[in-house]
Order: sequence, then C-alpha cells, then structure tokens
Amino acid sequence: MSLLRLLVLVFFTLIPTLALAYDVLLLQSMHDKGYDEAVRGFKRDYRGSVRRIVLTDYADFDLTRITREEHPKLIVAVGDRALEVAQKQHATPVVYMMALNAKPRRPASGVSMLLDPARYLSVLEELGCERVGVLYDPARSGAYVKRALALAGRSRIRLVLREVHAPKETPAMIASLKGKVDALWMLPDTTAVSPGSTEAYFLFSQAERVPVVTFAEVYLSMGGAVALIIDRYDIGRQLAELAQNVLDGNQQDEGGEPPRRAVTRTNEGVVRQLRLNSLAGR
Amino acid sequence: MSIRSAVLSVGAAVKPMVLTVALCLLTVMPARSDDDLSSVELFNGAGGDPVSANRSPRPASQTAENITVVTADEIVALNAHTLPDIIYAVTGIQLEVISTPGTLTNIEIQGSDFDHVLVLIDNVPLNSLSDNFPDLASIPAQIIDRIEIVKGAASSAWGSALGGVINVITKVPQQDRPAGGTLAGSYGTRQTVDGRVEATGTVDRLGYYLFAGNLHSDGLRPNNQVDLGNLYGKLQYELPVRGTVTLTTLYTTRESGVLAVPYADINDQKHELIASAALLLPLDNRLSLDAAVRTRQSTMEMFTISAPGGVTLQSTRENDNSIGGSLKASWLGEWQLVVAGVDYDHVKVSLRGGRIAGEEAKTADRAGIYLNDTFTVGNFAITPSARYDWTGFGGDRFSPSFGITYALSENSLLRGYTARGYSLTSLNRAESTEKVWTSQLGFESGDVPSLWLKATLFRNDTWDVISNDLGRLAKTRQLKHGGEFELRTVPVFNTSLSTGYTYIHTEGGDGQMFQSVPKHTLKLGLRYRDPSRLQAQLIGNYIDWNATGSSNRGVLWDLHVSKTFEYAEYTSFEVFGSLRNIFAGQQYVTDMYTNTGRWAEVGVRCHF
Repeated sequence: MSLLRLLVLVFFTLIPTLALAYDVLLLQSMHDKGYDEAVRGFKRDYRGSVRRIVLTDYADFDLTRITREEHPKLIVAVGDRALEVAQKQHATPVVYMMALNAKPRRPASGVSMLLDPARYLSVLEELGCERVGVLYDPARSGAYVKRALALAGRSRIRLVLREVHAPKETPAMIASLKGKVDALWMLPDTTAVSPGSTEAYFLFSQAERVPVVTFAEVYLSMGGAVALIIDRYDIGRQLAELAQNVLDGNQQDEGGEPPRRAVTRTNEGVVRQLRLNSLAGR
Repeated sequence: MSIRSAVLSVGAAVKPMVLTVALCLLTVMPARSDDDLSSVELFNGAGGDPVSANRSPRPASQTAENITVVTADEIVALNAHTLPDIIYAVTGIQLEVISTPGTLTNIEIQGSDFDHVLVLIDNVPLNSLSDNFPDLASIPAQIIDRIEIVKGAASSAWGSALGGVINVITKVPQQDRPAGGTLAGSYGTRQTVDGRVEATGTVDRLGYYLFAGNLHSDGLRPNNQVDLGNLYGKLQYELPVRGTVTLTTLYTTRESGVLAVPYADINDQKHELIASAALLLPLDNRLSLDAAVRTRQSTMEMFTISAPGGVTLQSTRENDNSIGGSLKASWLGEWQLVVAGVDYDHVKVSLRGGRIAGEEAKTADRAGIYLNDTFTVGNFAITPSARYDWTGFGGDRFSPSFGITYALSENSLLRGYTARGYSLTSLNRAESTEKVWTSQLGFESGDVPSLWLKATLFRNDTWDVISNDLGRLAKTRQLKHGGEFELRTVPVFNTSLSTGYTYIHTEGGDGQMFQSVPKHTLKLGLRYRDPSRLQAQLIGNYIDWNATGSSNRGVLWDLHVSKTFEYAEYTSFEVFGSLRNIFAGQQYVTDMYTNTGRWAEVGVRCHF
C-alpha cells in the first residue's frame, strides 16, 4: 500500500504543469537611473521570467536562502555589490553588468563598463593627437591600460602614462604632463578621477590647450572635448543575449565583454576653441 | 557572582590575551586609502539621485515549512562559543539546560522532546544511536557559516526528524586569496577561556579551511567544568569540469561535569570523529548529482563519582559507529524542481555499564528513499514530498508532506504545511518509534514599511511517545498546539529590534495538560551597529516551563558588545565583551539543572 502511495506521488510530481516560476534572479545593487536603464534593456531582449530584487531595499538579505528556495537558473548581478553578493553563493551561475569596481571572487561572464580602448584611440587619432596622457591606478585599470598600450603600438598614438595610487596624487601627476602631451584620456578609474581631482584635468586642458577625451557626458560641461559614452540600455540587451546563451548551456568566456555600442558626444565650444579636427558625422 | 568580581575576572584577562593582541598588531599594515567614489558617481557626477534606504528588514521566505536561518553575521554578533549559544536566541527554541558553554544541554523546538530534533553537521547526523540525543554543545560556533532550522516534522526530507531539524552548514574556504585566518581568544568568569585559530584560503582549485579550538571553564554551575577541544578541516577541490569534491573532518574531545547531586557528581568524557566526503556534480544546467559518504565514530562515557571522595560509583560507556552514504539527483525543469535521493547507513551501538550487566550491542542497516517536488502555478507554490524509510529496527515508515504557499504580493505570503513524521528515539529499545502529524498555517510579510512580520499557527499531534513519568514506561499521546509570532525592524539610528513569542498549549490523550512543556517563550533582541563597526546586542530570553520545580524569575538578559578596527583591506582587529544574565535571573525547568548566574567575558579577534 505504501509503495502504491509512492507510485501515485511519483506520477503526480512528473505531470507537466503550467507554471510561472522565474528563470532569472536579477540582483541590483541599488536604485539608480543608470542601473534601471540597463535593466530595461535586459528585459527588452530577455524573454524569460525575471524576479528583480534591489539589495538596498532590505536590511538583511540572504541570497543563499533565496536560491535554495526559489531555484533561479541564473543570477544577473547589476552593480558591484550585487556581483559580490551573488558570488557568495555557489548554486547558481552568475553573469553581471554595470560592475566597475567589483573584484569577482571567481571568474564570471558579463558585460563590462569599459569600452574597447581601440574606440578611444580611434577618436584621439581623428582629433589629430599623438601624445596622449593617461592617469591610472594599476590596481584598478592596469589590465585595461596594458591592452591600450598594445593597441597604441599599432597606431601613431603614444601613450604617456602616469600611475596614481590615491586620489590626492592626481593633480600633481597631471601637472607632470605639462608640455609632454597633446591630449588627456580620462579613464573611468575611481582613483584617477574623483570629485577632488576632476577640476585638475580641465584646468590643465585650458592652460595647455589640449583636449580631454572622457567617458561620461557629465565631464563635457566641465570642459571635456569629447566623451565616448557607454549605452546602458544596449549593455542590458547585450547581457540578455549572453544570459540566454548561458541558459542554453553554451560555454561562455570568463571576464567582461566590452560594451558593443558607444555614443560619441562633443563639446563643440571646446572643439572650436582648441581648433581640433571635427568629429561631426560620427 | 557580583559585578565587582566579574570585573575583577575580566581584569585578570589581560595577561593571557597580551600574546594574541601582540600577534594581531604584528600583522597590521598601514591602512589603504579607500576610494569612496562609486562607479555611479563616476559616470553620473557627484550629487546624483540619493540611494533609497532599507524598506524592509528581509524578503519573505517562499517555502511552505517554517524555517529560520541564522547567518554568520548574526553568529559573530553573539560572541558564541558553541552551537547552543547561537540557537539560544532563535524564536521557538528552548534550551532545557542553560549551562557552562561546551557542557551538555538539551534543546527543544516548539516544545518538542530533545530526542525529536535531528541535528546535522555537514549532512552527518549528530544524534546518538542509543537515545537520539544530539550533543550540540560540542560543536564550536566558529566553524559555522549558517544554521537552517526547520520547525515541525521534516521526515519527508530527512527521515527521523519528528520535532524539526537543525542543519549546521560549515564555513567554505575563502576563495579570493591563498591564505587568511583568524586568531581569537576570550577570558571570563571562572577561568572560562576560549582560544581559537582559523586558517583559510584557495590555491588554484584547492580550497582549505582549518580550525583548532580549546574551551576551558572551571564551571559556571556546581560541577559543570569543561575542557573541550576541537579540530576541524575542510578541503574543497573544484573539478576541471564543473563540480566540487569536499572532504570534512571534525574531531572532538571533551571532559566535563554534567551535574552535582547530593554526595555525588556526574561527569562525562567524549571522543568523536565526524567525517564526510561529498561530490557535487552538475551534469548540465538542469540536472545535478550529489553523492556523499559519511561516518560518525563516537565514544561517550558517563561517570557517577562520590563527592567528596572521588570514587567512581558507576560508569556507562556508549560506542556509536555509523557509516553510510547518500545519493541525490536534482532536476530543475522549465516549471518545477524535482529532488530524488537515497540514504543508507550501517549503524552499530554498544553499551557497557550502568544497570546493564556486560555489554549490549546492536547493529542495524537503515535506508531511505525520497522524492521532493516544488512547482509554481501562478501565485501558488506547491511542494508535495514523500520519503520511505527502512529503519532496521523501528519498522518501515512512510512520511509524506504537502506544502503550499500563496504570494499575496512580492513580499507577503501565506503558507500551509502538513506532514507526517517520526523519530527513532532508541536503537536499543524495541518499538521506540514515536510519530507525529504536524500542521502549520503561516503568514509572512515585509510589506509593512520598515517591518518584517511572521506568524505561524501550529498543531503537533504526537503519539507512541515513550514516557516514564509515572515510574513505568508508557506510550502516550501528546497534542501540542499554539502560535508563534516574529517581528523585526529595519535599523533606525543604527538600531534594530527583533522579537519572537511562542505559545504552546498541551493536552495528553486523556485531555489533561502535562507538565514541562514551555507554555510561553519570549525572545527579545535589540541590536546597534554603526558605520564605525561598533556593535552592541541585547538579548532577552524568557521561558515559562509550566512545571513543578521550575523557575521563571525574570527575563535573562545578555549583552554583547564589540568594536572592530580596520587596518587594511584584509586585516582587522576586534575587541569584544559579553555580560550574560545581567540581572542574575533564574530560569530552569528543574532545580536539578539551575541556569548559570551572571557571568562576564572579554576577548579579541584578529582577522588577517
């Protein structure tokens, strides 16, 4: 009789059911317009079911319990803290986006916030610059700068590098580039670019009459010449493709893919003032 | 014990801790300037949209069972020595004996008997074979990463677990560096000294976590001294293909005083080895296999010694040997998760001494198969499960369960759960299988701003419960039903509040109430934690045991304080102190086992 009950249960459990369990747990570090935009892009192209949890909504968040109870097939981490939290569990694979400063515990696939350096070099070439000053923290941007150097070797651009290990070192390091560069390339590096040091880039630009090529539109109004901006919405769409590949069981490359789309914005006033080659038509 | 003497004891702590402090300070490095500009500010400029504050203490748990999780962060805040110090603060858990850390204690879940609770560490059952007693006090708190507590019968997943399960999950090796560790030491009243060392890291694919600890106390109650030594090791190897192999070993040795009775002391001595080897193998994105072999080898002796005189009047010795394994397959389909598995254990127990002449030994082969399913239909999550056990000596047991949750909103749900379960309360006694039918109805919500609420009504109908209250063994029926309510708040001015209350009404088969089941259990918690990493936690515990000879004079209040100093990315130094039972309250189920009085300790922890 007991075995009969067991067989009934087996039959019951294996009946196909119409269900709405979700596949992807979207873990977002906090509420932010940029993150929301990336999430909208993700949801536009990812057709499966998603549950979104914003970490800052909870004082005590236990991801291990959620993965154990709700069995998502994939975690999409949006932001540095989300990636850190996601990697504390082992049960569910993780992909990420919008995580600039995270130090992944394990290799993970995702879309990085760093555009391919070739794009920047191409812009700098079009501006007619040859000697380009770059400030960077080796601990944060060492690998990126190494790639940029390798690519620069194949062009007429020469990178003039300055290492910074603390935000307060930045102004002095910028000053040390006086007379040695035709442009500054501002990297998204929180040591090299901080509220206290941002002004130094643009004061140098005005004094030396060299353009600053930057990564965010906000720096154009401060005196930047050209900004090569990530498209957050497209990053979300790019990650949606990557997520679907992971769910389909395809092996993914570890590490962050560069965003596939960039938007160029120029500060025409600065371009004219510095008599730079125009980037119109890009 | 007066406050003055406690303070004096604390003062005496300076000497043994100097070495630890010195070692800690030797490892510190100049602080690295921290970058406080987030990537959001970097891309959007400073002064962007403010980040929202916490709206809810925690997300609602989506399981049908009544589960409580204690995380590593909460464990550290309690300055706990061993496992009972941690679960002491959990709603619905009652410690029958509040004793010197490391010494024997009994625990109940919602008024269950102590031998109805299954305790697992690294998936190896801790319960003894002769009387199903789980010796929680021998598990050092430091090796624990999290504890998952299932309240109510959990036999459809775990087998013999009438009253619930305490699943102890140990720390995993630190993954992001090759070496790290912790040195910790504390000193308190009655020479209560706890020293612990941890080392952890990952080199290539191999991770390790090693622990050694020794806890000594002259005893906070009469004849309640302890010397507890633990060694623990975990090796984890990530296979070149997907999957992990994990080896764990816990070795425990203990000598302690259990009880003082007129003209005699009762002491115990224990050696125990728990080991497991587990393979986790995801075959693809949907199917994964877990396979494990495990063993528990334990020798426990109890001595009755004349006092004064020290002559051994009686001794009993129990040898427990179990060896077994398990195989589990999990299939995550489009719509549901199905978990099926099989457990097998060969167990052997031998008893010598006491009232039994010579040695009595018994062996058994136990096996169980189970099938658990979870699927979701709209806002409903449905969990039918069943397990069939061949217990070897307690008959064959079929344990079904059925759970259902209904999501009222994204962070509120209703839950219902019903299950039949059993516990094997003795290997040596015939027909010692006790049974239960558990039913629970609950509500959980994080939708009220800043609050998290959980309420559960439960009914545990147990029968074939072996009782010797009348001086003879009898099988009785016991009905325990009641309610449990939990509440937490988000931090306001860095301070959060938690509270839990459990009410249990008991009836025997004849409609009469019976004693020694806690009628009211109240847990209170007030936690302060500020950004400078100063934290303080006040814990209150009140139990009305509803028993002749019991005492419930006031709430037992414990205060735990700690301050952490960061020196570098991976190096920190923490000073902590605890004052337990601040107002010297009395709370015990029988005056044979009075609770510990006021006592204090201070300590340091150094992470590097």
